[in-house]
Amino acid sequence: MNFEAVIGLEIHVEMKTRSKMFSSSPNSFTRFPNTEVTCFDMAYPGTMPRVNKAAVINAIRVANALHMTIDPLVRFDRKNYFYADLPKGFQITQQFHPIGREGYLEIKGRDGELKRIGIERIHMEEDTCKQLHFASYSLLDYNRAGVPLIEIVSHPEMRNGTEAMRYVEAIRNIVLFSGTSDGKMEEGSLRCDVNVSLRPYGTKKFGTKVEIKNLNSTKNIESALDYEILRQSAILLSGGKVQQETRRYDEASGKTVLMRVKTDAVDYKYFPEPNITPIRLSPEFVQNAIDTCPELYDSKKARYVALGLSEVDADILLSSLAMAKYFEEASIGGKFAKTVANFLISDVNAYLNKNGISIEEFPLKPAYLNELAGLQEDGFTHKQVMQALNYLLENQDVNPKGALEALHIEKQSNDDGLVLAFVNDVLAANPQSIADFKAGKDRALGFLVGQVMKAAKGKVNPSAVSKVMLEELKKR
Amino acid sequence: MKEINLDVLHDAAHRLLFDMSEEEYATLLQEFDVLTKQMETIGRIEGLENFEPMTFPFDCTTTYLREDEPSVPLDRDLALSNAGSVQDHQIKLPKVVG
Repeated sequence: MNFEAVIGLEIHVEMKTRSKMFSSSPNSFTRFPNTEVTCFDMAYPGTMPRVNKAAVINAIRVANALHMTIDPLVRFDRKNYFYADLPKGFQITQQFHPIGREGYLEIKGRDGELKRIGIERIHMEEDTCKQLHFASYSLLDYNRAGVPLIEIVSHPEMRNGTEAMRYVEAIRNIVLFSGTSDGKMEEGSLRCDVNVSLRPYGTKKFGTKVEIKNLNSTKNIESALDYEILRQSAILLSGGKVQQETRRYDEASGKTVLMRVKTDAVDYKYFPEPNITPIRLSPEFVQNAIDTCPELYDSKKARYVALGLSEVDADILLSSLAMAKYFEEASIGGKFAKTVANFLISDVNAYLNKNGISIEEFPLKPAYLNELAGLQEDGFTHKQVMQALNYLLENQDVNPKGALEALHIEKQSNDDGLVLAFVNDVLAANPQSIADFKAGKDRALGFLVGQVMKAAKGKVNPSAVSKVMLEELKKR
Repeated sequence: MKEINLDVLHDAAHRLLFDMSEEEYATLLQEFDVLTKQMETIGRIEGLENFEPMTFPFDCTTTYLREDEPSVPLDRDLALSNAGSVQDHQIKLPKVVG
């Protein structure tokens, strides 16, 4: 029997606002524990929540990017539970009236076809405190308590690990490029819980679902799900029953591992948050939040492709917000965009990797990279431009033209007449090489081009020489 | 509903880290008795599940949202001064894995 996997995701995203969701405590991800707390975060009696405007704006932007219906009446609820990560004894969330309902996201499936994944809800809430567990005790850091979160809940419409991975990548791109979050899974600012069950193809009833937690990369989501689907399939095929349980992914073994068996669902006794009066958002406020949203990934990608970049190159530049920013500054108005992209993807990336730095630390001004790309398009060779670029990295008070002068680099000639004259002279002096080329020895071409470059003292463009040389050889 | 008795009140108070005199527990138990009876009276009304719970006395909304401006946080030592045990500037408690 063949089974169909039913996969749904819950994603928590930490917002990078300046203050917390319901208190004005700083939200700067400091490494010093318990230095970013106010009386509200510690649940001192009498303290009251005040909703962060920037968090609401972020949630509206993400909801809009996910094609959701936005509720203009913002309401919150209490989720009650007694645990050390929440000093109040409850979490303020949006159980009954999420800010966004029923949207979708389009991703590429395994077959390359576009697939629409439904999204049930997006709501705002506060994060819990960070706990460190040791053998006999736990330590609590309340810096994270109250950090604004958005939770995005998908419909169970994904069917394999690749779809789930691409869904998370697409969500990450939205929160990253909208300025909502830095979306770092490895650092916990984007956290993902996956629910997966199997059912025979053609049936509608859901099977018993298993939750997988602690997935710290999109690749792990794909691998964990692919493994889990095989595991559940093997149980069902051998006549067994899948147990409702929570598992985690063990990266080293590539397997999911049992954490705990699920018992009855916890009753959180939700009720409307009495300390926050419902907040009516005006249509102008909502529209302004949408209109002022920074340009999103898909829009940027379409724009880059329109500038002549391949989809692969556009994805590479958009893999980091800082790289995309640098590219846009270095290709002002789309000028020399393709050449700038080539420099960034190959030469600059190699420099960054070699020196272990990020693009934010790259010492060359974006405007100078634009000038260098222009020089290459104007006839300077890539090698010459790279010499100038390396000089600029060492001498930051010099501009690209100054670098060319300092290095005595002159533009190589593309003049067909001049190149042809050199080519004919070299061919006349090397009849054996012509014969070798005719006999299929391709290396003869390289030798002849080298002879031209030597004779011209490097002042002709080697690609122009190769082109003319090939044409002349064919004539002989 | 769980029966409210003196043991339940003692347990709840201790979980919330406070205690009272036995007279106060007795008074509280009497108050709970009144409350429970009132709940039972209300619970006998038919169709109650069709009503939204009332959270606010008036059907009012606001437009207020706090500007995203951070304030000065609590001094760490002050923030931790209520904790029974502190280690590495963090609140220490018996292991609580959820």
